[in-house]
Amino acid sequence: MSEELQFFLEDMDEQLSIMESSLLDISDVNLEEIDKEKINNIFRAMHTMKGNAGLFGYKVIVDFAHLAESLLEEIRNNRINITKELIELFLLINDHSKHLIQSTIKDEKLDFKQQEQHNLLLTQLNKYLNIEEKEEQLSVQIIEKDTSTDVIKYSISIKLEKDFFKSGMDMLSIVKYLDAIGNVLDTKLIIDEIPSFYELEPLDAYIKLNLIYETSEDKSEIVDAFEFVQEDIKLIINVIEEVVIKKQVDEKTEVNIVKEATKVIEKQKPIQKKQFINNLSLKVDSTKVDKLINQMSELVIANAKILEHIKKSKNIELHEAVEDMSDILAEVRNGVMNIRMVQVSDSFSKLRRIVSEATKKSDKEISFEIIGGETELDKTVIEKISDPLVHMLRNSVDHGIESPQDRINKGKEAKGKIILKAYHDSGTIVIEISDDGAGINKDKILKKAIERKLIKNSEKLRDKEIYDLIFVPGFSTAQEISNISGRGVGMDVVKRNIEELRGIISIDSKLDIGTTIKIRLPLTLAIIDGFLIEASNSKYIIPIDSIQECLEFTSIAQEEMKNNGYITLRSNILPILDVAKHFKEEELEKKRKNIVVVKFGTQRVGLKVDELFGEFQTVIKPLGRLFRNVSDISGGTLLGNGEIALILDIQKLIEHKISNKDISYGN
Amino acid sequence: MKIKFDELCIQEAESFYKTINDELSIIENNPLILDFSNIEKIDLSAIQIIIALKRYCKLSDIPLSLINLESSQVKESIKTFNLYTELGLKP
Repeated sequence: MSEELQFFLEDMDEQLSIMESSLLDISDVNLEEIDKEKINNIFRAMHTMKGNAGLFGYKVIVDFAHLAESLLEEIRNNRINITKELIELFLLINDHSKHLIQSTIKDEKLDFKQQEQHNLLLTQLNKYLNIEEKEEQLSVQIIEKDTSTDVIKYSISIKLEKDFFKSGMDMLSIVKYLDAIGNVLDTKLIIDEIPSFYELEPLDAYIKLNLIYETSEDKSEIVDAFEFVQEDIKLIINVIEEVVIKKQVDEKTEVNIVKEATKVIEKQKPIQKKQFINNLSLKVDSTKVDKLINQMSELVIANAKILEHIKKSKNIELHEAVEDMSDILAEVRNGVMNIRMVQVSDSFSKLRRIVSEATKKSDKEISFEIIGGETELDKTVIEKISDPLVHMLRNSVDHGIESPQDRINKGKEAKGKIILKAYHDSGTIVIEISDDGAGINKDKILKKAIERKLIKNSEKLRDKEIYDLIFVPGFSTAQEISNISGRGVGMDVVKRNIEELRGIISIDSKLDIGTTIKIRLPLTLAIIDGFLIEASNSKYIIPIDSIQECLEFTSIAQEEMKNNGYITLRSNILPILDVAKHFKEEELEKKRKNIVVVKFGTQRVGLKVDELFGEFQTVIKPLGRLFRNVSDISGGTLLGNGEIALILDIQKLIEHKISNKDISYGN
Repeated sequence: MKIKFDELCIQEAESFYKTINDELSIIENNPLILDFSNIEKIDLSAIQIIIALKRYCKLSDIPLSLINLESSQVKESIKTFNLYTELGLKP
């Protein structure tokens, strides 16, 4: 696939995503309160689709987008009122556009179902546009008058400068573009200046191109078409003649449609450019960023080695230079890692559609709210979490929220509520899905678990342990299997996916009040700021964001701990986890021991360690199959001296400590 | 000679020029047949090389044939720039 086509696809993906999001926004509010800018977003998406497709000569897309855009233009000009049916229609148009683009660029026909949908949508669009024409004769007359257009014929001379080809621009695209906003009537390549074959420099340009061209667009629009090559060409545009052509509104012939369609491309072009300048964004192939991050990781490891060796040197200048380099490296590292960070809002917007459709199928009334869409997360994490979120939201719709009548009977509002929330906490990102539905019936889960011999009848489980049964493969308490969820397939996969991302998932629920599913994920998967410690003879990394403070483990505290397993820190009890003991390491007699206070969510634990080495830029490396079941370790890293340090999984360690399971580790 | 590129654009221009140069040194006055069946896309940098080659072959009495200019993008370039006469092709 050519780079241009790839760009077209990416651009359309973005535009259609904005369109979908805007449609879902306006579907959630009263029709009178609709934000005009949302309609403009939808218009712009169709407008861009038409323009871009025109550049590639994809007439079927141009025609389709043109009709959709015409209807949107009517809505923008208040000639047609937006209705729920129209919002629905544009959502279908949005979906269909994706199929249409894919099949067109692959040069394939739409399959039977898609073709049927295509025809249906065209009929619907025409219906709305025709109704408008019949109902408002006056407007039509005005339109007719307005569409009398001066078509001007130009001669355009384009002399390619010597370095034109090195600019990377293709003159064919520019001529095609001109043809899209007008008519290229004649083309003549002037080749007089091409030298003899053996004198020719293959990278130099010797060609001139003369065009006879007609358009109703302003001359400045023609000049704009050459904007990106203006440094590399000599451009002369002269008017040959002016012709007045009156266009009839009801003459929606093929040519007119394409003309009308392409007319707007140029108007759109400055908008796109303006957006590009405002956002100062740049589209980069994600594999390039991945490569950069990998190289960055190697650089961090190499720097750690230098730091290790420099310890032996007494050269102060060298020490200073290496420290400077480390500081700069940390900044560069943060910058590189930030490239991968994207707002979760784009991904979340797509989920609104899922909820909206699942709601329709379920005959329930549900409002869906997104909070914290501006929260940033690593793009890879966002991609991998998308499917689990879809599954959980469908569960919320299907099993969480009750039917309107059931809700009224329970004294609730008929309309249920699902909230998807994202926020940062202790160096992690938390994604919560909460609903005000029926909640999870613990007794049902226990009954099912006993039936399936997952637990013993006499077993006493805490709430968390009961809810965790939901993540057992094949476990489902749904009475009926719906086409949305309820097959018991999924929550185990959801948990596995989350854990693969070094995240955790937990459920909290109250019967008839609602359920909250909380996912906690690391901000990034590649490099973290760590804190290097030693317990017994092993080195460990603690993610720095989870550290609250470091303390000396005084003899008084040691006495207190001996008796209780915790110490009192500023009048609060702090459970202590002995890292060496936890990992079955031999305890060393050292003069000074330390406590690192770590926090995860609302819980705190003190980690008893021997040495504190300080901050360490940590490149996370997976540990491989051998350590797959070691749940308190989230990875490993290479230290400057070639030694390996294990990265502590703080959330798991705290969970173990709080549930008093730490002593039994490894048994 | 089958041209062993997928595209003939600025990235391939130097190699394309060199390939033809090498071929010219071998064929002497035998016919030169350029087979474009692999070529998906062509731009003006390659077109000017072909035009220069065509002129050279004419002057040197080397019969030159351009064959299999069949890809839709190649055809589009020829049509858009109206190159039928320059390249000796039928519209």
